[in-house]
Amino acid sequence: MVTTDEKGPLTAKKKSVIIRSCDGDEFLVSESAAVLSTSLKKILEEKEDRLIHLSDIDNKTLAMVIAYLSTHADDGLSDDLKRSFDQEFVSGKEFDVLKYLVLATDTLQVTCLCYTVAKKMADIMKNKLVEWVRREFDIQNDYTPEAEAEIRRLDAWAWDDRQLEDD
Amino acid sequence: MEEDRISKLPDAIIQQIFSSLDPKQAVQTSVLSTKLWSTLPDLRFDYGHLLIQSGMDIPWTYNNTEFMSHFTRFVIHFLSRRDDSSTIGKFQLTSADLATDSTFVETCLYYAINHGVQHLDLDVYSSPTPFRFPDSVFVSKTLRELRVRQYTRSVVVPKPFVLPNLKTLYLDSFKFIEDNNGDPYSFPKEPFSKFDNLEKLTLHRCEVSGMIICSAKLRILEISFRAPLFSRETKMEQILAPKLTSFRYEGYVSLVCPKMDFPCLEEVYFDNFANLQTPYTDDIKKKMPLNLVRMLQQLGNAKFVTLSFHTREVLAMDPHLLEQSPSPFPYMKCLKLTKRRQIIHPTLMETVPQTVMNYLTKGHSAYGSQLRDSDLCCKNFSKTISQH
Repeated sequence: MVTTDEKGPLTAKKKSVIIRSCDGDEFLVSESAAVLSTSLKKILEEKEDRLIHLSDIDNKTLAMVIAYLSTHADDGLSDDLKRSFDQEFVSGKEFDVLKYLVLATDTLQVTCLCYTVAKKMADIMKNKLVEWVRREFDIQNDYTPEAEAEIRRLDAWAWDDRQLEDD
Repeated sequence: MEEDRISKLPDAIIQQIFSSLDPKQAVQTSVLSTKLWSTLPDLRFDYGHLLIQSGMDIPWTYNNTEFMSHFTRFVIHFLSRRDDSSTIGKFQLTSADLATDSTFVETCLYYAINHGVQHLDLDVYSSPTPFRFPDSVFVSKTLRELRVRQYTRSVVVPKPFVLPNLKTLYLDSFKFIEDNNGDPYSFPKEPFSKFDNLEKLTLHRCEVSGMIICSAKLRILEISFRAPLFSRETKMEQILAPKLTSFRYEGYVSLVCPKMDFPCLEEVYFDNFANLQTPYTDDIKKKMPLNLVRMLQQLGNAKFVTLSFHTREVLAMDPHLLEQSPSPFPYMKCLKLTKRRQIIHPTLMETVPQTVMNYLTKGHSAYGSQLRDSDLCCKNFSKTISQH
């Protein structure tokens, strides 16, 4: 007999939950996909309610996260396919979209997606000027101009501003 | 949502993003803001990586003292400008094959340990003098994970070497010898019995012959040899790990250990590959399958078994032995057969000889017929098998 063992009974029932975004859109999600989020798993364990309202995730971002969760909950897909899905998933997305995504994955505690998105954001940051990074992350420059110049002088070898971009 | 675009992400997320940056980028972030950057918990300093990325017109040589001095100066500056009250999660120092000053390595170590480092990863070729661990490492309450590599004589193994709080230990290229008093670079042959909290141990490229592993809480044990060794078998003396649930082996030599018993074993991964070129002789063809069959029997409590293509090849060398041997895994729930590492001929079918399949599935008659050759050609062949 070939069966899928522990996951058998769970998928057989095909339980699902409804997740509502902050702007009121509702998404029907299988429970096996929802529990890949540690936060949703905890909510489902604590209460019987099949409707979960997420007050700080908008519909566009939620739709993306749910697409990710559903793909990763699909036992029929090989690990290789899931990995290439992950690459596809983050490629070509705007930095702002990624910011919403990384926040949502942090709230929902989807660790591997959070890692993938963070990695993609780091990739985008390559070849960007310090000023760009400060602006995108709203980081206050607390150096005095002298102190900043001193650091740039000390680690001069790491600075090659010629190819850096500001957009 | 464009109208109310978020500008501020929580610090923890920013730190996570910045931790994925490559080293050059990390250097550049140091001028972003003192507050943000001086509290980054994960620090990675990789000499080779920085050298490649520096864009400086420095010729690549293994003993580039000019760049090394840039590197060491940068790391020391980086550390001195950090917020002194901010703790370190992970500290990674990598200089690989490039001669690194031992005083510099020790300064970094001292800093990391004094700032509550939890995960220490050292791949440094300290030369011409070896580096030593500061005494504070042995009383560290925070250090949970240690990875360290020996480059012939690049790190002194303190005596005694006991880290009672450590949970994960990864040793690369170390030796374990009977009387190590004369050799400051080796461990004693029974090194881990006083590591009271050790849960995961990895011995990579280590000389483990004659070694004894005694560990009350050990759950995961991994032993691997990458390069072919010119010996036919490695004989460990004893492995006592009553809590062990996972055992992983990868290597060219037969692993032999007359005294080992893992009552709680759940998972086994075995990748034993035969190198049949010189200096290996016909005698290896006789002994290797025998050693392997014995070893699998000792791992017989396992429920989830993964065997590499190469391991199956070794088994197939002696069909007669397989016929005579009892089922190695009577409690097996899942058998996974992985494919060949390098695909030489993509069209070549990777079939498992029937004798090997019969041997592995003895006593599991219910699914013997479920495994056909065609299944085994699949990528990541995996079947979950329930017993009836």
